[in-house]
Amino acid sequence: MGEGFEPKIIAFTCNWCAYAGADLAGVSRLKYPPNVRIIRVMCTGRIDPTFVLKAFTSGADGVLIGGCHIGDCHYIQGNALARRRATMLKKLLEHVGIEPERLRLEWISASEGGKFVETVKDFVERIRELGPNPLKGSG
Amino acid sequence: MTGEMYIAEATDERIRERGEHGGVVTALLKFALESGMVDAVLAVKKRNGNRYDGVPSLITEPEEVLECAGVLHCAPVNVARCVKEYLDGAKGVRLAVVCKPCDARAMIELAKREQINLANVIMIGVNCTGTLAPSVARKMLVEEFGVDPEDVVREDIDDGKLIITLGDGSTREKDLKELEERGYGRRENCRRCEVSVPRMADLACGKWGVPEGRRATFVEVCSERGGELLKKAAEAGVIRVEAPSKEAIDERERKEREALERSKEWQERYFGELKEMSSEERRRYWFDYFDRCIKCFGCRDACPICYCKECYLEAWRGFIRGGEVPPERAFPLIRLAHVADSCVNCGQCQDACPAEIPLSRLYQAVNKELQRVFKYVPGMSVEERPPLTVITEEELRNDDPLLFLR
Amino acid sequence: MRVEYVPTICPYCATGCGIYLVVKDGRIAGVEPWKEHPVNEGKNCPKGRSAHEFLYGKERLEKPLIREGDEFREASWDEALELIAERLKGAEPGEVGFLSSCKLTNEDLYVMQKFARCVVKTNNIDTPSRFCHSTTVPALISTVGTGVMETSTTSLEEADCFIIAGSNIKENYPLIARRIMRARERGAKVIVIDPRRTITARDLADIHLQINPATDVALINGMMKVILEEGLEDREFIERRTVGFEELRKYLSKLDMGEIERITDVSRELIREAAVTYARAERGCILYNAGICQHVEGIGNIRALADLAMLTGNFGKPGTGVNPLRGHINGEGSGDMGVVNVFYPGFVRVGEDAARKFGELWGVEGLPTEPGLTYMDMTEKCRILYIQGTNPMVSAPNTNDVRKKLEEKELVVVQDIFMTETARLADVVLPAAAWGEKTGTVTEVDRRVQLMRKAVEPPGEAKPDWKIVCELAAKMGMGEKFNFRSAEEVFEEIRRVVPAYAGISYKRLEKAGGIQWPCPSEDHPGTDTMFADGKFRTPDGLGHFFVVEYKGPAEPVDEEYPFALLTGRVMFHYHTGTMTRRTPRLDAEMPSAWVEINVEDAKALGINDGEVVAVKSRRGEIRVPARVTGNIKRGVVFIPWHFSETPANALTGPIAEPPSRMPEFKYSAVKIEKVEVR
Repeated sequence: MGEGFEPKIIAFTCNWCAYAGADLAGVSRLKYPPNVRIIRVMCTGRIDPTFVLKAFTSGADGVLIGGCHIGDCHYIQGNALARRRATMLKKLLEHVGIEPERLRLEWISASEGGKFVETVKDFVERIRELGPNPLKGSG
Repeated sequence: MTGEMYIAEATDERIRERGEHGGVVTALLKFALESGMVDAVLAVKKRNGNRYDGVPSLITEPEEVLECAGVLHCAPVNVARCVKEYLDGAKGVRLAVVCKPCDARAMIELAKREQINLANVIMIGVNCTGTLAPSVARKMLVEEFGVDPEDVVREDIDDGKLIITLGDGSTREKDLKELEERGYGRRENCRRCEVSVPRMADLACGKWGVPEGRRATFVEVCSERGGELLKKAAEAGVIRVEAPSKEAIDERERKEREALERSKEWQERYFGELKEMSSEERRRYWFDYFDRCIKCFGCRDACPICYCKECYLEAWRGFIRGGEVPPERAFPLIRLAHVADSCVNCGQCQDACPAEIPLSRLYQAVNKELQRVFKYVPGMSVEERPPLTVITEEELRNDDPLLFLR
Repeated sequence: MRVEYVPTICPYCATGCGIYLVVKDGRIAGVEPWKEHPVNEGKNCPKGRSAHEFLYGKERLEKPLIREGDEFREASWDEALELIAERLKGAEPGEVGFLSSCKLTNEDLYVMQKFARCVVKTNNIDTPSRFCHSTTVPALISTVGTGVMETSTTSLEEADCFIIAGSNIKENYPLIARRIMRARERGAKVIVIDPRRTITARDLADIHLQINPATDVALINGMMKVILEEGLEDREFIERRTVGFEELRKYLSKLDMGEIERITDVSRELIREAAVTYARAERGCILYNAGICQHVEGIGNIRALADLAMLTGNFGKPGTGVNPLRGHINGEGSGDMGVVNVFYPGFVRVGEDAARKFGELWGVEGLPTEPGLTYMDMTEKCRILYIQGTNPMVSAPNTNDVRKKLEEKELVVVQDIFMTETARLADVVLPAAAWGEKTGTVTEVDRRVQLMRKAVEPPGEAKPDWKIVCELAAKMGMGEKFNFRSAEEVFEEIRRVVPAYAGISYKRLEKAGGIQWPCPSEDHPGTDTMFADGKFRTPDGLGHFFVVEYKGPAEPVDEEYPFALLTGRVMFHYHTGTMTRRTPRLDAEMPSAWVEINVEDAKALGINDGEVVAVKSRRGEIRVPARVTGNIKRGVVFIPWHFSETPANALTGPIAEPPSRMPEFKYSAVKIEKVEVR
C-alpha cells in the first residue's frame, strides 16, 4: 500500500435515513474523514447495481450504501431489496477479483449521526488497509 | 398425472424408425399439430440434411414434423431466444416446442419476466447430457475418430462415452472425458451442467430407463398439460404406452445420478481452479479476458434471459462510453450483474464470443454462489420469482445487513 | 406467421463470416449465429451482428429518379433507362467511364464489365479496389505471379509467426484476428508494423515496430539485411525457386542500419528481433493491408514484403505466404470478374488477343483492345460517368475536387441503394436491390467463393444491379447477349469464362464455407493454399526478387504542414458509412469523426482532449474533435474516413503514377490549428 494513499469512498445514502443521519453529523460538528463523497438517493432500493459497478470501475476505492433500518424504509421494503442486491454485488465482485469488503451496506437512521461517523471512519480505515482499487486506471 | 412415468413408442412405423428413441417426441408433436392443440411446432431441423447445421424450424404442416426427427448433438440451437425474439414470446400463437433442459429453463425465466406466454407453450423436454459445437465436432470426428463427418448418422452420449454411428451401421466410441481434456467433446457449459432431465418442462423424454435394444422413449409427465397431451395422444393411437419396470426407473435414476457426478467433477475442475486463486490472480484472469472484448454484443444478443429493448450497455444510454474497443470495464460487469441470479447455463454467450472469453464459466460460477445464498435455482418453476425481486416476511423482520452472507 | 432462417454471408469486410438472417413475414427480424460456418464458427463482430439493420434505414432508393434543376423527380424504369441509352449511344467509347463497386456480387460485376466492353466498347471500368489493392496486383504479379491471398483464413492458425503490416486487423477483420489470437495461444509470435499503437498492436503484438509513416520499405530492407547477416535465409528455396537474389543481396549489403534506424525510428535491436523471429519460424505468415498498399510507393512496399517471404521460403504451406486482405466483401471478385481497366475476366490482360478471345466467347465483335482509364482518371476525364455502388464523394481523395468534377459532367448515373453523397450530384439515380434482397456470389479475401441468398424482396421498384444493366443493354439493342434470367445463369457463364471458377456451381456452394478457387473441375475440392505444388504463377514458375529502394511519401511533411495524416477505419463503421451510419446500434457507438493526436503534440499546440480543431491540407479543411493519446507517434495524426460531414478525404490528394494510380491515403501533409471558440 503506497504512502499517503487516501481512499476515495462513494457513499449512496437514502434521503430519509442515512442522508439525514449524515446531515445530523454535520450539524452536530462531528468530524468525519473527507474521503467520502455522498450521493443522495431517495431510497437505497433506487440503487442500481450499475451505479456501484461504475463507481468501482471509475476508480472508487470503496462504496458505502447507507439506508434505513429494516422495517423503517419510507417505501416499505426498498432497503430489503438493496440488501439482496448488495449481496449479489459482493459475490460478483469477489468472483472477478475485487475484494467484496470494498462494498459495505449499513443501516443508519436519521438520528444516528454518530453511527454515520463511526461507519465512515471505520470504512475508510478498512479500505486504507485493502489498498487502492485494483482497477484504477481502467474506467 | 404429474410424476407418472411411461415407456412409450410411436405406433407409426415411419416415425418410430426416424425417431431417436422410438419417435415419441415426433409423434406427440405431429399429434399436437394435427389435433389443433397447437398452431405450430418449433423444432430443430437439419438444414439441407446437414446434421451439423441445425436451424429452428416453425412447422405448421404435420408431415413436416418428421423432418425434425432425431437428435442433433452437434447443433446447439438457441431455442428460447427464437421463441422470445422471433415468435413474439408465443403471445399470439400456441406452440409445441422441443427443448433441452436449458431451453426449458430459459423459457421459464422469460415467462417470469412476462416475455413468453407459457400458457401458449407446450414444452416437450428432451433429456440432455450435452451438445457439441459443430466446428469442433467436425474436427474431432476427423482427427480423433478418423471418420468423415458426412458419414455420421447418429451421435450418442452414454455412460461417459461419445458413440457415433456411421452410415453402414458400424459404431465408434471414445471416452468423453479424454476427448474433452484434449479440447474436443462437448461445449464447456454442458460439461458442467447439472440438469439432464427437463422436469421443468411439460414432459421429459429420453432414452434412460428404456430396456436395452428397444426403440422406445421413457416419458415422465411433469405437468397437467403434459399429461393431457400424452393421454390424448395415446387415446388417439399415435403412441403406445406401458408402465416402466422398477428396474427401468432405477436405471434411469442411476444414469441421472452418474451424469450429475460427472458434471460435478467438471465443476470442481473449472471452479476449483478459480477458487484457489488469490483476489489479484482472479482479477487478472478475468480482466485479461475482458480486455479482448470487441463489443459485438453477441453475448447479450444470444442470452435468452436478456430481453430489454433499451439495453444499458448501448452507447446511447449513457452508461457506457461509445466507440471504445475494448469497452470500459463496467461493460462486462453490468451484464453480469443483470443476469447472474438467473443464468441457466445454456452457454450461448460463450458460443457467440469472437474473443473466446469463457463467459459461461464466470456466469455459472457467480450463479452457483447466488443459488446457495438465495436458495434459488433459476428456471425450475414460474412461481419462483427471481431472487432480486422478492422480499420474504422473514427478512423484513431481520435487521442484519449481512443476513444472506452468514 | 412464417419464420425462416436464411443462411448468408455478412455484407461488410471480406473475411466472409456466415450469418443467419431471420426472416419473419417478409422482413428481416434479426441476425443469428451460423455456428457451422468454418470461417467464423458462429461468432461475429459488431457490424455482422447488426448487418440487417441498414436495410431499413432512411433515404432508401425505391424508384428511378431524374434530375430537374435542383430537384429529383420520380421516373419510370423505361424513361430512365432510355435516357441513359440515348446518351451512351451518342458518346465515344473513351468518353464514358464505369465506376463499379466491390460490394456487388460477382454476377453484378461480370454483367457490368461485359456491358462496358460489348455495348459501349470501352475498357474504362474500375472499382474502389483501386484505392486499396491496385498496388497489390502489379506488385505480386511481378514477384509471385498472382495478387491473391495465398493461404486461407481457416489455415491461419497453423502459422507460428505473423507479420501484420499496415493492418489494424483486430479492428477491421476481427474474425481473422481471432485466428491469430488462437495461434498465439499455441505459441505463435506476432510482429505488428504500424505507426499507431492500435488495438491490434496492444492486444496481439509480441513485437510492435512503430515505424514512421511510409518507411515500410526501409524497415523491410533492414529486416532482410539482418536475415542475410545472420545466415537465416532459406538457401535451398532461393536456389530452386527464385531468380534475382544476387542483385538483392548486393543491394542489401550496401545498406546502413544506422540510416534505416533514422528513417524508420525503430532501433536496430528491435528490427533484428523481428527479423530473426520471422526467419526462424516454421510457417511465417505475412498479412498486409492498406498501411502498405495505400502509398505512391505501394508497389515497392509490397514487392519488399514478397522479397522477405521468398528470402525465408515461406510459401506453399498453409499458414504462410504474402497475404493481402481485401477491404470489401467482393474485392477479390471484382478483380476476378475483370472489372479492371487492364484485365478481362480471369486476369486476361487487355490487348488484341484478349479482345479476340472474349469476342469469340461472347459472340461480339470490336471489343476494346487498349487499356482503359482508372477510377480517378475517369472521374477527371470522362464526360459520362456510370457509378454503381461506389461513393467517390467520401471514398476518393481530394473531396472538393471530386465534387467539382462531378458537377461538371455531362451525365452522371448513380445506381445505388441509398441517396448517397454522390447520388445527390447525379443526373439519373437508379434504385438497386441491396444485400439480402438478391442472390449472388461473392469472393472473399482467401479466394473463397460463397453464395449469398435472397432473403426478402427489395423495396419499391429496386432491382438487382445485374438485372438493371441487362435491361439497359436491351435498350441499346444488345439484349440477346444479356438475356440472363437469374443470377445463377450469370454464374454459369462466369464459369465458362473464368477458368479458376470452372468447377464451382451454385449447387456446390450450398455447403457452408463455399469453395476456394482455383477450382478447375466439379470434382475438385477447391484450393486452400496457393503454390502448394512448388511453382509460382509467374511465366517461368519462379519467384522474382526485386530491389526496392526506400523513397518515402509523395507529399512529405514540411514547415507549413508538419503532421503526417493517416486515414483509416474503425470497428464500428464501414467505409463511406452508407450502411453503418444507418445502423442505430453502430452509429450510436461512434456518431462522428475525430483526429487522433499525440499527447506531446497536443500539449505543444495547447489542445485538450475533445476540443474541436481544424485539420488543414493543401486541398481542404475539416473540423473534428481531438483525441489526445499516447498511442500514436509524434508528428502523426489519424482520422477515420467514414464520416461524410467531415470527410477525411477532403484532405488527401497525391496519387501514384501508373500502373497503380493509387492515392496515398496513408500519408498527407496537414497542419492542426486551434479553432476560435465563439
